[in-house]
Amino acid sequence: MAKILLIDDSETARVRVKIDLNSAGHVVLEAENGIQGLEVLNTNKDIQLIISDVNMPGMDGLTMCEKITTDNKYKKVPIVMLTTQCDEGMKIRGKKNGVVAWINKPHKTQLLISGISQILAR
Amino acid sequence: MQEKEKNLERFMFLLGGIEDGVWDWDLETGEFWLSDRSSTMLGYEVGELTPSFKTLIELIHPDDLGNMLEVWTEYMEGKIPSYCLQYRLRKKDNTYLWAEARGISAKHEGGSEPYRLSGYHTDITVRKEQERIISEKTADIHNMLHNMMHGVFTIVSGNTIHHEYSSYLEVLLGTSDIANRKATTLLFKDTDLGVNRIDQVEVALTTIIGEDKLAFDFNSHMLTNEIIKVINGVESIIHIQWIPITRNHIVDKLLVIMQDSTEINRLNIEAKKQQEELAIIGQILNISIGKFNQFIEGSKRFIVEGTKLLTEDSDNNPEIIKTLFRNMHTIKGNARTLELLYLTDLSHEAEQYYQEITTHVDLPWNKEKLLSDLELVSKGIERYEQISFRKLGRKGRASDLLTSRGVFVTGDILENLIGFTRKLKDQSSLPLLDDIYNELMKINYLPLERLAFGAVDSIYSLAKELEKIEPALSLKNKGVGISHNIAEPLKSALMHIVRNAISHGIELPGERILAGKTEQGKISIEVVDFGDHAEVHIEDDGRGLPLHLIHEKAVIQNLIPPDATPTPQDVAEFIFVSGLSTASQLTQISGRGVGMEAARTFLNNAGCTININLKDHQPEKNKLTFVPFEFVISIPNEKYLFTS
Repeated sequence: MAKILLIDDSETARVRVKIDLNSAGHVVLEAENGIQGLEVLNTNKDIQLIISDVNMPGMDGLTMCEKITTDNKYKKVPIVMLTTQCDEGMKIRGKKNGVVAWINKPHKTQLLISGISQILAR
Repeated sequence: MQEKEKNLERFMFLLGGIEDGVWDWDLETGEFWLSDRSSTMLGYEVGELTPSFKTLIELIHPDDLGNMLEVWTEYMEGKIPSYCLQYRLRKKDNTYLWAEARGISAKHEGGSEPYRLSGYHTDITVRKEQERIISEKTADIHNMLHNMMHGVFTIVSGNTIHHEYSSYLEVLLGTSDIANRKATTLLFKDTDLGVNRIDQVEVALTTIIGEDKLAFDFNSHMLTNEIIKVINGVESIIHIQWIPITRNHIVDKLLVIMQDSTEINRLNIEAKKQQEELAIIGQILNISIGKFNQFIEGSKRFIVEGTKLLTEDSDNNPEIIKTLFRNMHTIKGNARTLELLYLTDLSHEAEQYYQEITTHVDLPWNKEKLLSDLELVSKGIERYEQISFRKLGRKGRASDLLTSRGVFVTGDILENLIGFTRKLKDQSSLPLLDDIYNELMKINYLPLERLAFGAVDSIYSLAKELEKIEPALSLKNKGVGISHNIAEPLKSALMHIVRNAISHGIELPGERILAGKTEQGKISIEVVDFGDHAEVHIEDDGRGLPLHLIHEKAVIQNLIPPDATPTPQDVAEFIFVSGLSTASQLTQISGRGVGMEAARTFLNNAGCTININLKDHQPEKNKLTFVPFEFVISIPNEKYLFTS
């Protein structure tokens, strides 16, 4: 139903999320870190949602979010962060840069799918 | 000029419209002025109230007056420039109105006391009522929080516990130092949760609190709903509910409700067991007794065989697995056919492992698993058997009730056949006729063992229930076959007598030892042929018939006048009277006092008699006490057959 950009440096993690998203009928584009993510975002103007890990080599997830916010050439889409940690600092930084929700790993399939649907419906 | 007039206009316009009652006091001239509204808000007509300080004082509720005067003293002396008070004002109809009163003052430059005072009253009756309702509700909530048997609290930003929580929380957390403490530390202390899991909850809390409700939807599964916590040294199952409290879609705080559900869990487990049992009963009732018992016996044999093979084997002989697989497959197939659902699952699982071993030839056997799988299936079979046996009372050996190719013959056809054959036998001497006749006899006349079967079977479980040692049973039929058409009444009579023997006759092991007997009791059933009739003698070596108790009961039930002097035999006869039971408790087993009368009726209807013979051993002939006895069932000629 929607085109989603999935960014995580771990293939295992990406596969888990991808399977769930595919099962809900979404098309998934992948990237391994922030830099790749930005590239894919740039070349695919019909991406509707980004799901990204925080800790990645090259460029981490929150930095990527900041880049998307500040640079006009990137389409502004809702971003969901995947993470194993969370603190106030991260939340604030995320909120300023388009993050609408945080998902703790490991995620629960049903909750992920319904949550994504809610966001896409807004 | 114009400005002044304009202001005056503005003021008067405003005054006419506002709801407050305004007053003004020129202390130099003494002139006290009340606005129209001041009067009308109290239900008076304009001009009805005398504009003076005295009037004001008189209108104030006596309970509020003291405080007002205290404040006014300072006010009038110029010590305070203004005031804000609340007091009640009496209306014309003598009800009270809650007013918020404000006042200001004006002083001349350099003056200590004011020259002019001015103020107004606002009707706050509604607000006061709302306040009262709120405080009542708050009190109710506090009451609930104080008394409920749940731990209720909220977690706020920073993942700490808010200071308002239910009193019971202190019990559940084992401390009163709760407010502003970290939730996860207190919640998961002394629980079965690992450090990693606790950290996950902590992260989830940070992710959720203060964020869009989406965060809760995404991550609520990280919050654990059940923990095992040690409270007051007792391991308890605690059930936790997490509820997001949102404001404008943002989760302000998390409401947490903790409940000790150890008891509920126990009840749930009980209920589940009951349900399973009901399901099993349904499955069993769908099958005939014979088929079911045959399945049980066959399956048990397989298990025994399998266990033996496994324990005796030392070199992992693959033939054993083949046998195990074959047997288990049969069990599974039969269970499937009979729809004994819990067994199909168990046997299927066992089969899986055999499959695995067979396909991976070099895999070393896990003998423990093989044995425990068999054990599991065995337990499953036992469960079905027990339910069928105990709860449904379905007994009877497979071979009795089911033959591999069986035919049901009605009694009259059989009797006809026997009659014809006998006539032929008398008329001719073909040896084959003798054989035919004997086979027919076998069908028609049953040996004692067959009839006593039900009684024999119940001995074991009964003795166990009553905590007595299973009595030894001696069956002697001395070549007598008993006609099938008195089988039923005879069967049930035997059943009754044997049950009574175990529950009332045979004593507990301790008692028996004291009486100089062996721990194990003995019941004997013997059939003797007397030519014109046969007799079945049943006796036990228990304490005997309680004649004194029977006599007592008979007197109480007005079956015999209190001053009568019956013989022991007379008293013994009373056991055939319905309703007379000397058993002090109605046990499941007997003691209802209907059995013997029913047994006698059925036997009589079938042409037999049943009597009780006291064994004479008391020196004092007519003393009523425990007396050993035997039952004698007499069977007429046509109803039995004596073969040597």
